[in-house]
Amino acid sequence: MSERRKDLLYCLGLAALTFVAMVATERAIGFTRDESFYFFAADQYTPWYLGILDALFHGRLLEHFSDANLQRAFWYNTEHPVLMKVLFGLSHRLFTVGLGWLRPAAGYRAPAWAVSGLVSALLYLVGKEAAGGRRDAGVLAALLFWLYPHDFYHGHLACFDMPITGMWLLVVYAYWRGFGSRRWAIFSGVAYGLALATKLNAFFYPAALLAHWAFSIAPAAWREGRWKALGRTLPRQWAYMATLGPAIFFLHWPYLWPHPIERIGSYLGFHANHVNYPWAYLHQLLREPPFPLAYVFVVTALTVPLPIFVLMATGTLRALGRLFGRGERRLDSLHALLLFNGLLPLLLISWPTVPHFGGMKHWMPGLPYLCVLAAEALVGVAAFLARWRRHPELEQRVLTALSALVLLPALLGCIHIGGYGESFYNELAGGEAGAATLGMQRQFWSNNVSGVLDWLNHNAPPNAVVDFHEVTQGSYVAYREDGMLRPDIRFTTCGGGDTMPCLRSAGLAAYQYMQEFRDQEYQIWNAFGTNEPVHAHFLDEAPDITIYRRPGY
Amino acid sequence: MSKQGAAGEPSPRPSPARAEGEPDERPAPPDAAPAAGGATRPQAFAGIEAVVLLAAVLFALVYWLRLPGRLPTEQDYLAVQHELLAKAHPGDGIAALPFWADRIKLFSHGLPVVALPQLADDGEAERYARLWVLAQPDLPRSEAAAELEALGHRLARVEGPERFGPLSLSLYEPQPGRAPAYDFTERLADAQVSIGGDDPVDCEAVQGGFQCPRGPWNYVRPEWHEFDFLPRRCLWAHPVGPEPLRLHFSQVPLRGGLRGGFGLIGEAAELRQAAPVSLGVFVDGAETAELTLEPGDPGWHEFDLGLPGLAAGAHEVELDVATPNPGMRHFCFDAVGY
Repeated sequence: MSERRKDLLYCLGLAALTFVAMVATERAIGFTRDESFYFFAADQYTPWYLGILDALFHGRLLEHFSDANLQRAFWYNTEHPVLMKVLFGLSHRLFTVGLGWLRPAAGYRAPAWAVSGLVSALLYLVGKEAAGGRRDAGVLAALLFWLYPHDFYHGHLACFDMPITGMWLLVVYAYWRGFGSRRWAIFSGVAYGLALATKLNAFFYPAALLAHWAFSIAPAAWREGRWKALGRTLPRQWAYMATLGPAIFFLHWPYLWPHPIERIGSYLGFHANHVNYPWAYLHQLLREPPFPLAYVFVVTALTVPLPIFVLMATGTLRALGRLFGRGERRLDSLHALLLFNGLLPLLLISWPTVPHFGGMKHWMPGLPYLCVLAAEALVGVAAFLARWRRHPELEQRVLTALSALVLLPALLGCIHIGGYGESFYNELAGGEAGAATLGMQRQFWSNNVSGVLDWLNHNAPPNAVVDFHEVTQGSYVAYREDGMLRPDIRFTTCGGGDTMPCLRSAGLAAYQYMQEFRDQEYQIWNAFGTNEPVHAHFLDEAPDITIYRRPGY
Repeated sequence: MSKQGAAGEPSPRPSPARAEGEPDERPAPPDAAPAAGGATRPQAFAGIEAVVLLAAVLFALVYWLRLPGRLPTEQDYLAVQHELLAKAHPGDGIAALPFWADRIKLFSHGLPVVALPQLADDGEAERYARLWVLAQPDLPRSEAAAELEALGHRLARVEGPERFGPLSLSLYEPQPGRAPAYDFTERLADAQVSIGGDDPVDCEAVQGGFQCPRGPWNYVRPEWHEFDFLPRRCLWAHPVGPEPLRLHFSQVPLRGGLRGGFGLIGEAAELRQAAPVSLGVFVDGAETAELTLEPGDPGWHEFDLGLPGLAAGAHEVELDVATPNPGMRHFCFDAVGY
C-alpha cells in the first residue's frame, strides 16, 4: 500500500471514529442557548436555497433574489455568516425530515460532527508532518485534542466554534501545502472563504500566517536582496486568500448582496460592540474591561487535563525557545506555523478589551496546533526515556505505554463529566468542586438543564409551568420535539432583571447556578416562599441546576 | 502506532511539493522539520520535561483514583438526614462547609441551611441556638478543615465530628452569653410598624409583613436578597424620608445586646449621589445606637451592639429607618437579640 493511500485510510478512519463518537454521545448533551438560535435560523434559511430551482422553473428567479425576499429569508441572526446554519438546516431536512435517520436535534448537529471528523483527519496530517512523517504522532495529536473534554463537548454542537477550528485548520494545512503546490495554494483561498463563511475569527487569524512569513521566510530574503527579494517570497496563497476568500464569503451569504457595505458593516459592527457578559474568574465577576491578562492561560491550565496541558506547555515552550535559536536550533518553518497559529487565538482573547465570556471556546481554534506540539513532546519524552534507560529499541513500547498513561486521566475526565463538558475542570483545579472553591465559572450555556429533565418528566404535575431560567424557548421546544421533555410541561422564563412577575405564574423553577444570577435564585425563594429545593443536579457536589417547587404545587 | 523514523534523526520526508509531484515555481520555506524529539532539543530540557510529565500523570491518576472516595453518596446524605431527624431541635440550623456544597438542602427537612463563606467571621454562625455543621474536608481544594478550626474559636463544639462517608457532622453552640434570644426578622408579625414624625401613621398588617401608605414599595417584610452574591434574609424597610419607618417590638428578652446586618440592594447600593440611611436602635426608649450606611457602600454590613448594663428580662425595642432623601434607598436589615 502506498504511503499516500495509508494516509488516506488513517484520515478516513480517524474522521469516521470521531463522527461515530459524536453520534454515540450527543444525546447526553443538552441544547445550548446558541444552538436554539441556530436551529431556528437553519429552518429560516434553508427554504430559500431549496426554493432556487423552483423559482427558476416557475420564472420567479428575479423575485427570489430580490432584496425583500432575501430579507424575509435571512432576517434572523445576521450577526453570523450562514454557511454552518445552512448546512445544519439541509442536514436536518435530509437526515431527520427526509430519511428519518436522526432525531431532530441530531439532524441539525450532524454537519458539526462532520467538521469534527475533518479536524481529526487534519490533525493527523499536520501532526504526522510536524513529527517528520511519524503516523503515531499524527494519531496522538488527534487523541490529545479530543480527550480535552471541552473540545469533545464543543465538537457535538450545532454552533460555530468547532467548525471555525476545523476550517482554520484546513486553511493552515492548505497554506502549508500551498508552498509546494499551486492546487493547494488555490485551495487555501477556498478554505479561507469557508472559514470566513463560518465565523468572524477568520478575519483575525491571517495574522498568524503573516507572522510565520515574517519569521520563517522574510529574514533570509531580506538578507539576500532587500525589498526586491522580499517581494518575491510573498506566498502566493495570500493572493488566493485575499481574492477567493472574500468572494466566497460574499457569495455564500445572499443577504449581503443587495447592500453589501451596509450589511457587512452591520455584521462587523455587532461584534465590534459586543456586550461583555459577566464571567466568574477567581472570585471576581468580570463585567467590564480591562480584563485580566492571564485569564486565557489560567483557564487553559485549569481545564485541559493535566498531562495534556503539561505536554502542550512543554511543546510550546520548546518551540518558543527555538524561535530565538540560530542555525540548527532555529525553529523550522512548519513548527513556526504551528506555534503562531497555536498562540494567536489565545493572545487575541487575552487582549484586555476583548470580551472574555464563553470560556475556552473562543481560543479553541489555537488548540489543534498546541496538540500537535504536545504530541511531538510526548514522542520526544518517550524517546528520551528509552535512551535514558539505554534501550532505544524500546522507544515504541515506551511511547505506547506513556501515551496510555497520558490519555487515561483525560479519558476518565471525559467519562466523568459526561454531557456537561462545558463544566469540566481538570485535576489541577480539583474538578468542579475545586472550581467552585476557586470561584470559577462552571456553566454558561444552559444545556446542563438536561440533567434535571428526567426529574421534571416524572415529578412535574400535568401542564406544569416551569421557569427554565437561562434556557431559551427554542431549546425548550427542541427538548420537547426530541422527546426529552414531556409535551404538557409549559415554559416560562424571566431572563435577567425582576423575575417576580414571571415567577408568579410558575409552579416550578429550574435555576442554573451562575454567579451573575445569584439574585435570581433568591427571587425564586421569595416568590415561592421557600428556599428548600426539591431536586438538584450536582457536579462533584457543586450545585449545577436546582429545582424549586411552589409549596402545594 | 507505527514508527517511521527514529526520534532524533533528521527527517527524510520530502517537501509537500515533491510529495505532490508538481513543479514548484516558488522557493519552499525552510521547512526541514526535525523528527519528533528533535536532535536539537537540549537533553536537560528533555529530562525536566519527562519528570514534569510523569509527575503530572501520577498526580492526575491519583486524583481520579481518589475522587470517588471524596464524593459523598446519597446513602451518606440519608445517614446524615437520619441523624438530624433523631437529634435536631426546632430552632437548630445547618451549615455547609465548603459553603457552596449545599446538597444538604435536599435532606434538611425544614432545618434552615446556612451556606456562607468564612462562616466563622459571619454573624450567621451565631444565629441559631445550635448549629449542625456538615463539612466536606476531603473534597478537592476544600477549605472546610480550616473553616472548622476557625469556627471552633467562635462557637463551642458540643458533639462530633461524626463521619458519614466523606461527610463530617458536628454540632456547635454559641459561646455563653451569645446565644440568640430574639430574632427580629422572624418575629416581625409581633411588631407594630408605623411611619413616625409629626404626623405618625400605622402600617397595616398584611400576610407576611406590613404595608405602609406611601406606595407599593413602602412595606416591611422578611425577604431574601443578594449581597456580595450571597443570600441574606432581611427585613425590606425602604425609608420614606427623615421621618422614621419605625418597627416597635415589645417583650423582647434581651440579655447581652443586639446584632445583625444591613445593606442596600442591587444597583441602589452603588449610587454615590444618593442619601445615607440610618438605622436607629432604641431600647426601652433610650437611643442605643444610630448606625449609618453611607451612599456608594455596597455589600452587607454587620453590627454587634453590646448592652452591658442591660437588666435581664423583657424590653421594648424600636428600630427606626430614616434618610434625608428616600430615592433608591432599597434598604434591608436583619437583627437578632442576645
